[in-house]
Amino acid sequence: MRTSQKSNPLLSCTNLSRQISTNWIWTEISINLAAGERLALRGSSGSGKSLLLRTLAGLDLIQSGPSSQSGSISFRGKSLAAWEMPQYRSQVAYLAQQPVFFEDTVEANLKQIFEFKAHQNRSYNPQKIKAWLNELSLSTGTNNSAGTDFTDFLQRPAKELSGGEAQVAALLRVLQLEPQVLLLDEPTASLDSELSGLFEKLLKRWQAEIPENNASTPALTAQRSWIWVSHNPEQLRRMCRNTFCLDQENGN
Amino acid sequence: METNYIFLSGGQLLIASGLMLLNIGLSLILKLGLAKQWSIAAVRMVGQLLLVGFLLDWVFALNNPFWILGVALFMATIASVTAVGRTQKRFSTIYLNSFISILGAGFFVMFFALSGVLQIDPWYSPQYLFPLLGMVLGNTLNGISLALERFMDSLSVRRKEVEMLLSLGATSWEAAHELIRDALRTSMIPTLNSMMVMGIVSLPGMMTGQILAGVSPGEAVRYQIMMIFVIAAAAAIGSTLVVVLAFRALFNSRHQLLLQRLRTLA
Repeated sequence: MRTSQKSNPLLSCTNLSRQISTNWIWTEISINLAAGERLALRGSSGSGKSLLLRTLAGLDLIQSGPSSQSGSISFRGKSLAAWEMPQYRSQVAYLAQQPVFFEDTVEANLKQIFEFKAHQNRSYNPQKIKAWLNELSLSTGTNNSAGTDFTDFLQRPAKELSGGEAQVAALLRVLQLEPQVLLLDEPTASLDSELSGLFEKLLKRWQAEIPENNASTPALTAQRSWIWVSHNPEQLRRMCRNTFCLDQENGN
Repeated sequence: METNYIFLSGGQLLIASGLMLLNIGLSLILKLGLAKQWSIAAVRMVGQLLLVGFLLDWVFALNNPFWILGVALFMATIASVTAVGRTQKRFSTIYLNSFISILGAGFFVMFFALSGVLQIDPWYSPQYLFPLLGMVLGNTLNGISLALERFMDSLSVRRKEVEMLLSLGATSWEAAHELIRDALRTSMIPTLNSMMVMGIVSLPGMMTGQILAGVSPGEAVRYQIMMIFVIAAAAAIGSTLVVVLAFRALFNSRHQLLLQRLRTLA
């Protein structure tokens, strides 16, 4: 059993184990993610990095371990079982490796999430999206002389985006929820190095921001965090401070 | 009712069965490999129908509501098992869900038709109950198996889409809504299409049966109209129930999609 120790964790999981048919992918994992922490999740292919992110996002059932102890997850000191799942998932947001969109424009896809009951007190903010797109140098078709040759990014059919553009659109979609924890599963795998650099810069700036609507809570505990899965060690070195490696588990 | 129809004797049925020699002959000449299956199917069909005729004669003669309900329940059970039998994917409570849906839809429309529309006394009069029930169950079965198959199939195929919506804060209902709609449309379109061309492309079996039995076409049509409304409602209610129940079986209250509960038949 391995533990990354921190006092007062923002997101913590204890004794998580995962079995697929008869194979244990990982056993008795405990991770404590502090507010403001940037954690790299490493491990070879098949070590279950995505499965761990999915479990942390509450998409998979928490299984009991080999010695049948039950694992648990808690966020902001409250156990996962006590959270309303839609609320939890918009605070601990999972960005899947392969973005999925429905057949409409990018903008319609970005707006879609505000139809959910959990987000009915929020609304689509085009200014924010355009500011982000500017940061990423993706044309929005307006007051961007350099980008007038591009079709307006927001009006393009989402299903026709390139792999990299789709990953960017998926990131913007999830950032609209103002999550406190991002679970990033190879978020720049399909991006060229230039766009990847801008993507990292945007996320770094986003992470350093203190969210406005959390003014009631102390600034330190409102800090944004992420768990970042990548096969690119340089990127993990740039984007993360701490590392959790799933591979050591194999000898257990 | 008039009785100016021709009673079919055993000898006459034997003459009709001669047509099967044509089917078997065709299969042998064209090497379709269906000769044996045609024979088995013909024997089964004759056996099953004679048995049903015998059973129904017996139930008709008893005219006892408990026996009639018992046979009706038995028919509903067979229909719900058959509806599941056509699907490629299963979950543990699928038979129960199919049965509840068939029963719910069947009970509602049968009650409506027998007590509300036909106003038969007593309501269990087998002469009306069984022909209606047979048609209701057949259509509900089709609707349910189409809806189930489509819903489970699209849950596996569109899993990423569903989980994307869940991870963005959708409830399980919000995430599955599109798939539920799609499954219900798929299950209702055959009924809708056949209603559209009713009488033009197809002359329904019940109507032709009544005409053969001496009822005037104008009156037989009235029964047919009522029947189409009844079976359309039954199929719609049944498939809606079964999709909602399947939805509840494959998602939990924590808004998680539990695809591990689906097993694909080999």
